[in-house]
Amino acid sequence: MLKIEHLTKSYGGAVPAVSDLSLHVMAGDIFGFIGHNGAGKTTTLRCIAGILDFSEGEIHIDGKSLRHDALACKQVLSYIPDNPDLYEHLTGVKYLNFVADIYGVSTEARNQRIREFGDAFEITGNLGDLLGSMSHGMKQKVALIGALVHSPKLLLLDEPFVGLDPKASHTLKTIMQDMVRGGAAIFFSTHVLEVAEKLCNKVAIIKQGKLAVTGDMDAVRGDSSLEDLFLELADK
Amino acid sequence: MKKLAILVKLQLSALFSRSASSRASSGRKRKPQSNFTIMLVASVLMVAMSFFYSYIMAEGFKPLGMMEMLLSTMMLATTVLTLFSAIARAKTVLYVFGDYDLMMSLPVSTRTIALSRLISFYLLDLLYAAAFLIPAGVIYGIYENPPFIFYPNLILLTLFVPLIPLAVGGLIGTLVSAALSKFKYKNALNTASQMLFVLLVMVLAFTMNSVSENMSDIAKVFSDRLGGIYPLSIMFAEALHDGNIQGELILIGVSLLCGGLFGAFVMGFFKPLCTRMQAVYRNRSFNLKRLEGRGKLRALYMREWKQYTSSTLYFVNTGFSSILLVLGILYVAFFGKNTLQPIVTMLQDYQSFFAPVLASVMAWLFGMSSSTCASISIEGKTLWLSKHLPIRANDWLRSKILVGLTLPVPTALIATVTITITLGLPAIVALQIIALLMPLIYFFTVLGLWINLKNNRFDWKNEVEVVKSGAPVLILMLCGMAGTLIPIAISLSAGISWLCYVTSGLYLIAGIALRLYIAKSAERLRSALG
Repeated sequence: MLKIEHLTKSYGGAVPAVSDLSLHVMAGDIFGFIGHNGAGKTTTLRCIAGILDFSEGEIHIDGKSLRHDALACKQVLSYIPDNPDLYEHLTGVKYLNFVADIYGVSTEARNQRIREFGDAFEITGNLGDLLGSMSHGMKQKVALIGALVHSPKLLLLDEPFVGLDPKASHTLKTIMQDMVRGGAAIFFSTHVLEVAEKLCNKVAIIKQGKLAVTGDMDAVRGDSSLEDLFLELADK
Repeated sequence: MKKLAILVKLQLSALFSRSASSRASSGRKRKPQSNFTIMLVASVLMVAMSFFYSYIMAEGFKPLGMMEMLLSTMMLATTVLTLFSAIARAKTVLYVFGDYDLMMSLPVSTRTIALSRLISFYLLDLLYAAAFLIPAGVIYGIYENPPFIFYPNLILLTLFVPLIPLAVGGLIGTLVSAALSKFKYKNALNTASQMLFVLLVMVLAFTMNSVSENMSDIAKVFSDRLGGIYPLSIMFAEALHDGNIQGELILIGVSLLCGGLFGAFVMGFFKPLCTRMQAVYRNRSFNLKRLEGRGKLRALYMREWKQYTSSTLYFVNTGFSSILLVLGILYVAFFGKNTLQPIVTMLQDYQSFFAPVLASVMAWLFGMSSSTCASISIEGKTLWLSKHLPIRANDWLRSKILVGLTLPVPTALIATVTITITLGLPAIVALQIIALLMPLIYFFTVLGLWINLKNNRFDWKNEVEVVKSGAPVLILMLCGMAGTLIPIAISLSAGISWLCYVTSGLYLIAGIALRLYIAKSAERLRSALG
């Protein structure tokens, strides 16, 4: 579903933000992406999401090249940043309708999904409010619904649980598991290692822009916890 | 005092784009001073244009022996612009700013924060006042050779000229915004009320006081009219032209009083006003109704249009001229017809220039204020959505151009038809005006977009930074001024009216060529943003 080959992204400094990163996310994977602050997680996600150009390497999404067929790649993926800056002049429902229009979601499907996810996140009654008036957590929920409305094949999330209340976090985890059971793939970054351990079947740890370790969760952490592994790698 | 200076410096840095260096998504590091340099160049060019306008007016006033009217006229123009600008900016500059929470949590008194906002509010308009008044004063000085005291006096009075319109406009903007803050459609109501107020001022100004019946007594007519609209403009001219100390002291005293009262009001009620202005409407009885799908381009256009009309500052700063033009012409059509028709009769020999002159004046208004010159920067932190969603870059840009044309095109058509009928001109003149005007509207709309694509910023905390004081805005204003008035000036002085048609044709070709280039490079241009 997602194939990253030798991805390198530089912002013009001597040290690239991401260097020679390669990994593979298959359909059905919940792939955790872990690293210290400034390791290159957000840069990697933004490159995959089509927001940032990258200097070298290739990214394939659902078999299509992001460099040469960006529109087709973006059509099947969704991205939610850690701090979702949405169109503050729109109400929640108008934003969702706009996103649904852009993805070409049918009228029936959008109405059904917006109501379903709105009820699941308990935000349906607030969708008439301006996004500018919403709290961070409420915006996060609206952004999530917007990301799910077109049933993406690949979901990219940057720190998705920050700002969500416990019930919403639980709901999101349930939705993620339902999605991968339906053949989608999820690639998300998090600092909450316990969540990554419980949720993810695969993990990659990035350190100073380079991949330190990647693979199945059980194989990567072995007998220790993910936290121990992370700290061990951080000290190296 | 030190804290006040730091806050003012911070706000001015943001206003004039002296932000830290940023990285474009392509990896190209942006020079920290490049935006500031462009603004500086654009400002210098604006001052040059102001000199040019003052010179043109001086050439008109000198033979009539009324050079002091140059000073009065520019003072009035400054006052009017400052008034309207203050009404539109009051809310965003004084009370609703992106780093409000951070500011209020600092160990700085609320009064100091309020004072810093007031100073920023004043300084921007002081720059505009200086750009109008100093060139006018210099031109006056060249023609009249006044004593040396004239120049320091001019600078001194320039410092005080913005105070009254800032105070009045600021108060109106504050009261209107505060009153409407809890309404669902507060932005639309805010915009409408500001526009209504401006219209009221204009109607009152043009119906007040007596006008000399003898139209050949132009000096008295002009003086009467100017004095009727704003007596202080005459006082300003008399202070400089005649050395009227009493008038000067009254002008300074009244300005200080107004400025002081407004400042005391803002500082005294700053926190409650900010809280009230930042209040949001919540729909307590929202019911999710059935949603209908739209095509991509329509969705993009509606989103763009909503953004444009949701921001009072953005809309008033760019769209208001279109609406004002139509309303002004309608007003003249109903109430001023008898005044204008004798002028038309007098100028019968210059009929071939009616269409070019009218088209140029309208194009000047539209060209200087296209919404497209801030349409990229206004995306701000939401730029990531335009890049991430499956939207063709060309469609995204097309929606901005369509919004940029939405007001000017119909208002230009309405204005053209109305003025043609009002002045009793033949129908062919209306067609000529449209043929001259539409290519310019299209060109400046596309040009505004191009300017903003090449020069933009997304880290703004206050819309004023990109809508009013951004470099693209200044550049387009200059291009609009020069591009519309220089051709007609050449055409009039050479006595060749067909030159304007040739110019319009060239603008049409240039507009289409630029649009095709943007379409071809759209993906690359969008990738380079941010």
